[in-house]
Amino acid sequence: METILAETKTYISTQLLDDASFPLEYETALISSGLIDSISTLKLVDYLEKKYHIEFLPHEVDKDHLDSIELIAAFVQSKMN
Amino acid sequence: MNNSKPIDRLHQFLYYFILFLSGFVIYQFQIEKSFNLLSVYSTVLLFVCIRPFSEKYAKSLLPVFFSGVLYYLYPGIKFLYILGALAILLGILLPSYNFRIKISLLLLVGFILSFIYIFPNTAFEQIRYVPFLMGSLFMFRSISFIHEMRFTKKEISTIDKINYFLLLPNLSMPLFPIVDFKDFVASYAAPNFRQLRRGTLFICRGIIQLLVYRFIYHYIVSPISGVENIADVALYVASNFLIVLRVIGAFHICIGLITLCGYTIPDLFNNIFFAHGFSDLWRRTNIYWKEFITKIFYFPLYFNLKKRGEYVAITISTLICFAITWFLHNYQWFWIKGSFPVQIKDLIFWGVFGVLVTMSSLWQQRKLVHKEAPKNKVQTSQLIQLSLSSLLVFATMSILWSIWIAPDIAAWWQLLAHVQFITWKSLAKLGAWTLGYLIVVYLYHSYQKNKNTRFKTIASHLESISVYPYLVVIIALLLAQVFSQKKIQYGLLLKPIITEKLNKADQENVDNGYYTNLISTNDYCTQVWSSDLNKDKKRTKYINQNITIMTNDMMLCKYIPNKKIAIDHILYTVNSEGFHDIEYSRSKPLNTYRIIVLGGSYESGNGVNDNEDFITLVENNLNKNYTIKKNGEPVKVEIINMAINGYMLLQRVYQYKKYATAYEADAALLFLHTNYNQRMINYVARLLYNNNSVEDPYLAAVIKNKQLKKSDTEATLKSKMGFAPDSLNAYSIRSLATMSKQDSILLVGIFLPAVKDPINSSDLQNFMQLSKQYQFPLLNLENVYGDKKKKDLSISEIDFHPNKVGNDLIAKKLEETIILQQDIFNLSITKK
Repeated sequence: METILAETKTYISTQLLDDASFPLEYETALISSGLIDSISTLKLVDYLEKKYHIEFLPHEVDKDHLDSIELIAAFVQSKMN
Repeated sequence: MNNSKPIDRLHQFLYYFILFLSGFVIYQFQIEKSFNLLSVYSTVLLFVCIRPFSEKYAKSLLPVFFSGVLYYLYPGIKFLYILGALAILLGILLPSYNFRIKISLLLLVGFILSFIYIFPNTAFEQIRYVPFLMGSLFMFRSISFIHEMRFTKKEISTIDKINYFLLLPNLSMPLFPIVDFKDFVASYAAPNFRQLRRGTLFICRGIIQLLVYRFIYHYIVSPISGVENIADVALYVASNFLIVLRVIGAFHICIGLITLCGYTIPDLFNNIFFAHGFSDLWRRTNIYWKEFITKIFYFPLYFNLKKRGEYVAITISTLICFAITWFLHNYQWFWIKGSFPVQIKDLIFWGVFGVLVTMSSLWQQRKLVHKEAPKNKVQTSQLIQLSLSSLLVFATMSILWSIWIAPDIAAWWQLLAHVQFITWKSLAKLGAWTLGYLIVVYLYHSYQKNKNTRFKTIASHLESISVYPYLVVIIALLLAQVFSQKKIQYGLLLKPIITEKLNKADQENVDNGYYTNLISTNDYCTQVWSSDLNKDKKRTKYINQNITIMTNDMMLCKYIPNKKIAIDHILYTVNSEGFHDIEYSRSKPLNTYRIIVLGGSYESGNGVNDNEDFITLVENNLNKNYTIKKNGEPVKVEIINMAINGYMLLQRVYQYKKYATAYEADAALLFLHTNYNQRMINYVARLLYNNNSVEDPYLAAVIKNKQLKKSDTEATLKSKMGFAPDSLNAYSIRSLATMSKQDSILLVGIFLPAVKDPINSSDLQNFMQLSKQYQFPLLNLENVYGDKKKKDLSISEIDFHPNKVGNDLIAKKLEETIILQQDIFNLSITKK
């Protein structure tokens, strides 16, 4: 879980955000705050699918599972199990 | 919320105070009065006041409050019909059972409701508000609901589900259809200070945006005829794009009201005029819609296509989603207005917008693939680039929007042609506006980029401090309203924005029949839409849209034979010949004195029921109450109403040519009103514009000599024509007088003053002179309306055609005049 959290945070801050100084935390709202848009969300899903060998269904791409790094990690973990 | 510190309680009091003041502003400024905003607002305010004392039952109380407003707006049997429809739809949606059966049942109900909606029948007309309301509540939310219920594993209470469909603001804002079900249910919270603050601020923001909209609508948006040079074109397209503020303001009020009810739903618009890319604009504009489309259509499409590569998947999914958006906008319009308009300009708008968003998304995808390292500090060059991008997006969208709101592509092209007229003054204006926009947008981007660093302190307190400017503005508005009432000079400047009124451009358009046959999916941004929603207020427009078809000759348009429409218990029937009258045989029956009526909208009686127009009343009264003889033989009088909405004098010449002898008329009544010169210019413009064949030699010569062109605006036509409209009107009257003499048909002119402008002596003088010159009698119905006020005689506050009272008065005066002047008709008329 810790690894997923750290890797996802690194990916988002380096690959999806423009502003390196943004104070990204594990609980920071990503989608609902508008920090990442739908194209970036799909890019993130693609990364998670490839990185952790999991598969998302279309209805799983939403705030319930992807709105924060914490939620992402928990969802990825549940998928891996 | 009750156990808070004194300072917090003071803040709470401040927000409650602002809420009450805002209600007062809504009342004083008649904000969304046509949509009954005040009744919905007052109800929510009442709910907010009692909520802290009844939180346990608050959620369950919401449907009760909804029903209360519903009963207020639709009393008596209407309320029961709506409750029945609500029970059926909720009965289908809420229980858990097979989704396919659920969808089939919904489609069946939708089909029945749409049948009621579009079938022209007086019985259905009485319940036509049911599909309208059900459409507003269920057309999209049922889709979002079914989608979420298919996948959710959470238990959701029935009351949350009911509250999701019965959103109070929908009773005043039918165009507020989509809310994400999952977001809605998850957003409920007990009353708290943040909720109160957020709801209040959204309402304040919405009110101010609606007033800014009115200011732009009345003072900046110019009529298309006033566009002369490049600066005018820029101002026209930009100001027409800016009036989208009406939707933004109204939706913000809806969000505020829903938040105050306990459901803190997300923001809906995010500074759309500052978007720095087309996909960025798509994300900022109607966020609920974008999320609905993304969730229901985009993601499933993308996941199906992503094996073919990300670029292909993005391209195809985005383009399909825009096609769906176009279709769903028309679907929405069907439920709100009862029509499904398919127009080229809609396809162009959504098509071009779709292509721009697709390109922008592909560009963004490319940037993510070849991502540069994020920067630590925002650079000035980056902000300048963003500002220039915003300018490009704003300009492109303004142009695209101007296509969408134009009557058609040719009219838009004609408007755009004025960019070739460039003067130093116009360039200076354009430069100043551009610079002004760039400065504002630069400051905006600068704040956005630095709000987590340099402006962190301001950003974190922005919500709490923004209430003070709102408070100042609201108090200033109320004071200005008082000044306006007291007719203090500067207060008077606010007068046009204090009430819901058409601006000069729209009033001109309505008067000139510009909106005839114009059904657009976007005219909500003008005040015309609000009056259109209550069709009885603008009955003439509704009749024109539904009963008239264009022709390619001098007549320009005609009524559709055998067409019948019903508007709020009022039936308007056209006979097999295309007249708003009962059937008449072409050959005149024996012992009949036949009169034909040549006229326009007043005579065609579109403000009243089939048998209540003054022509029918006079015909019935004469036959019922009087013995009428011709040459000693008793006769029956037939008055055939050939009047058509919007017909000008020249159109009546051709109406006469076609029907007067064919119907063996003894007399022709030519009704004459006022302001014919401007309307003649409008008629010529429409003839040229529609490429109608100009078979009239006099008009053809005018067009040739004055070099009138299809591309000329009305202002240009007016200046080119000079006195020609006057001469065309005189020519039309002369033609009718000559033809009627040749046909031995008695031509009788009848001067009937307009309800809107009853005293216009110069027009009367002119008609009297023409009657003398061309030797036909003129009956004068001056003072027909007596002391009655305009509002008591008109269909509505914006449609000045005579209502039943007006028609009764005209009938009485006309009947008296005919009896008094019976010698003119060579008839003997005596009371039975």
